[in-house]
Amino acid sequence: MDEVVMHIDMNSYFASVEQQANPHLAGKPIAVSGRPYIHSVVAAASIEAKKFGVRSGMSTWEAKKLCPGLIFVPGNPAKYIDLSGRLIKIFRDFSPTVEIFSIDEAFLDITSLDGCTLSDRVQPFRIAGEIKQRIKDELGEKITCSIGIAKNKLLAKLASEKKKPDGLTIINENNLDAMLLSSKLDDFCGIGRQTLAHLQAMGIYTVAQLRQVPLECLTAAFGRHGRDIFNMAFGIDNAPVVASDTGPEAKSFSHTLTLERETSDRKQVEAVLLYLAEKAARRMRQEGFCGRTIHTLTAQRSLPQATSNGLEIYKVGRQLMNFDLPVRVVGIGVSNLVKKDRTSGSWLPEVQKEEKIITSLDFVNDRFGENAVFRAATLPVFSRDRRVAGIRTKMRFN
Amino acid sequence: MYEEIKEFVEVAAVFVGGKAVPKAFFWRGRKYIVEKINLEHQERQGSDPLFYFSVTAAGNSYELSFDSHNLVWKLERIWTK
Ligand SMILES: [Mg+2]
Repeated sequence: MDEVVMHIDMNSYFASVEQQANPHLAGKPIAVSGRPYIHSVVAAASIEAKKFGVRSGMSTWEAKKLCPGLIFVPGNPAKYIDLSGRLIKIFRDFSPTVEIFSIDEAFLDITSLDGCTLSDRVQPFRIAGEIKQRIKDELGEKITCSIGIAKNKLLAKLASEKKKPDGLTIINENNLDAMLLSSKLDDFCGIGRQTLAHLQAMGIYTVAQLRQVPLECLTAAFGRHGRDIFNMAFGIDNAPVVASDTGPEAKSFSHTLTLERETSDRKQVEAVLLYLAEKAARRMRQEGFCGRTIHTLTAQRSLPQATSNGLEIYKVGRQLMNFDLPVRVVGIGVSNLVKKDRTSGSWLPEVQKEEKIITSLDFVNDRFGENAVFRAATLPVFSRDRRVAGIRTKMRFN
Repeated sequence: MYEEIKEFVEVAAVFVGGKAVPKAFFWRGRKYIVEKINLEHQERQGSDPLFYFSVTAAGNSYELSFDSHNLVWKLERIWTK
């Protein structure tokens, strides 16, 4: 029997939250942005603003040109994170297997719920309706979501994209081919701008065309990702919904730091992030752990292999961070832990070298105290330590 | 546009089931009746939670915060058209 996977995507999340908070913004084109509005980017556009072509990532002046009546609202990440936590709690009342995909998206495995099948849509639709209602009751009626239901994550996400806002779409055997063939290539999660351009350069513009391409051609062009792209055209995705452990009981090594004030200085934030990643990694090594899932305050990603390398953790964390909004709290953590097996060291020379350096850094730090040695890029944290709360160091830098 | 105020204000609130519910606030000599709580959220200040309320009063939008540790309320910001 097929799995039943639900994808929930909050509609224009940050903007909807702001419209919920302030009725004067409801029904109007608004853009959530950094402060000050000039020289900033649009972090999220309301449904009304999207109709003018305003998109997230766009510069504020570009957005204003497209939509002269656009209202800019300063974003507050702490608020969105708090409300996300409440959303996740609602989702967990419906399924024990909730995978947090981003700050405003989650997958739920609802296979084991009573009477839940894809062929008879009554039960999945009832659950989706209840989730929507609880969000309205507990957070506010302006905060809506689009829900997609299908046999795997790829198709569930594709389904949730089909109708916005407040959509509810199921993909089952009856409409699978129709749904796939009517989708654009970049509607699929995993086909980004680069992959799309690459496919187009190969003369592939539609799902129907993609189905004709032999697997070997795709693996030659895209490596390991080639098989995923091949599978997409047929709606195949074998990745299960993996419950994200964010509860207090979940073991993870994480550190957060509250900056004295909000900053849009990306270099500064990255330096803090690297510092925290190194700190978490060092604790992991002390306790003999490696971890596979890296999480920041708003997102998480799993690696193919467990790591306790601070730089590697930082690099993933940096990709997960949203730099479109000013940052007040920086956090990074590693979970999905495994006890490190000392005998199965990596044979890759680069990795070995990296591990050697790390071991010697740990040695120096053990001898001379925390922070005696750290990567040069974390220096701004210390040279500007007055701007960062919570970090104390005995070292002096001039 | 929002105007940041960040002034302590007197608030009349009721406490229901472990939750604070602001009913009215007094700011710069005027009384504002809270007509609707549009959104609630929490933020952390150190280890203490701060409770935020986005409310409608006298036809305008206001954001109040309640510091449950020090038992003080602040008018955080107002919406000015
Ligand atoms: Mg969304």
